[in-house]
Amino acid sequence: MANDVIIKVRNLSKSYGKNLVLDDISFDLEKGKIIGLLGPNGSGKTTLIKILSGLIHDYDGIVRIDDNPTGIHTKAMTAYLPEKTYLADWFRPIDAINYFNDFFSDFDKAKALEFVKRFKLNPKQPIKSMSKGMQEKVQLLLIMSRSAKLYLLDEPLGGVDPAARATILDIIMKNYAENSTLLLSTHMVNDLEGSFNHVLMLGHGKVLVNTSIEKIHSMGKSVEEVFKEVIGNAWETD
Amino acid sequence: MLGKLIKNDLKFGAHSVSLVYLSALIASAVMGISLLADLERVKYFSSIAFIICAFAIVIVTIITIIQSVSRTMYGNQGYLTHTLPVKTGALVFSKWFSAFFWVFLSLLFLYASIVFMYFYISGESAFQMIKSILLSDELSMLINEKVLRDVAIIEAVRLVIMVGVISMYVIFGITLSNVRPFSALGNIGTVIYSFITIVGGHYLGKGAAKLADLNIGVTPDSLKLIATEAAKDAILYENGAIRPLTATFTEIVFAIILYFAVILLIERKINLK
Repeated sequence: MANDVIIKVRNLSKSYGKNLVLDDISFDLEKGKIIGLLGPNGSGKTTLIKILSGLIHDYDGIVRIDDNPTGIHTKAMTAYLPEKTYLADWFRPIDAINYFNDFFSDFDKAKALEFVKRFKLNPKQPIKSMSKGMQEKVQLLLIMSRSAKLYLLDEPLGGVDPAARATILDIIMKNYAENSTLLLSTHMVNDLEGSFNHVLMLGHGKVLVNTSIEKIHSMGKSVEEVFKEVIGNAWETD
Repeated sequence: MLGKLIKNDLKFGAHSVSLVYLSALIASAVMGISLLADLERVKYFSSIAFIICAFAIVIVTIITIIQSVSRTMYGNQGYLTHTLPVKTGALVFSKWFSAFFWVFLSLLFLYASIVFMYFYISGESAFQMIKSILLSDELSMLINEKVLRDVAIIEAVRLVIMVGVISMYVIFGITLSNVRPFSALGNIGTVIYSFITIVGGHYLGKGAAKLADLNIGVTPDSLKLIATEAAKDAILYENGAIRPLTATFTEIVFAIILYFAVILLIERKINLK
């Protein structure tokens, strides 16, 4: 059913110089799912997310988000959390909240301010004087205060300690907008296995697995086992 | 959305240049105190400090604006800038306007400082000076008062235009230094490409003027568009003045072309690292 598809990718290829990162991949992802984008480092996860968020334009193939080519419309409906800190270092949480409030019509300022209280952040403390964990919390509260159709989260648990991981995951799962889709890239399969209802595994620029968690479990396997199996095979064939 | 972009970009710019203006404010305060105290030595040093400050403001403003544009467009902050639901053209226009505004403000500050310092040191009042220039018999025979005023307005407008034009040249230079294979030179690339574009624009204007030498003829009675040597002679005969037009116009067109080139490069070639 075409209407149920939030992300449609056809024959997508992307290379950096001679390095082919995504190699003629095609897939559909359905609306309303929590999708794990899995793969080892360098498998093309970040590149795929950047293409979906409209940051990379020079690729071959077709990419559609909710039937639209990437552009203003898709940026308005997509909440993107990159791996890096993308806020100006002099920004304070209150500045960042006002900035998002200016540009995203789906941004809930009251919810963001509530997050600031919950995270025990000082709304007037400059980002540059915050720890990495606090900076990530600020970015996360900005993203999770939007009612986006699609959330693209690139390694949201990458730089945080195991204790904070559970909290961040809990915030993501409890606060994303109803009926929206969450595409979350990670290589921490173990931590997130219970959260996904669909997985897309990339390796060597190819889609290795695109299936529901139900199907994986019906084979009597865990996501981690499948991950090790297919990624291991991909490395071996290399 | 464009208004919100401009508002935020001006805020970013203000944050970048605020320290420079703060130091100028301190120098001004010292000058003010020395003026009240009438201390010659303090007056001398604070005057030098003030002029250095005024020049530093221009240079530091240009550098910080280049850094700010680079960071917010092609650095980590670009991840936020380029995921905003706004047209690329609006993004580029907003960056250009902010750069233009801050550089123009710094130049205005420099000119005002020089004029102020002249009166501060010479002790002559501005009114007296302007009056003596305008009423000087020798000068009034050469150029009419109204012509002088019109030429001053034309030159002021040309300065504003050229600041805008050069701001776009620099934004093009920054953009090009983020496109493969030009990105190989890194930050030095920004300086080199901006310099080449500025020089290129200048010679393009000069070349165009050779092909079609359009000028504004300023006479006591009117402003005229003139294109021939005979018309130029006639203006000079009337004690008028001639200001070149083709080169400025060509550079405006070149800057507009570069504006679209920047949009095209962002939409087709830029990959944020």
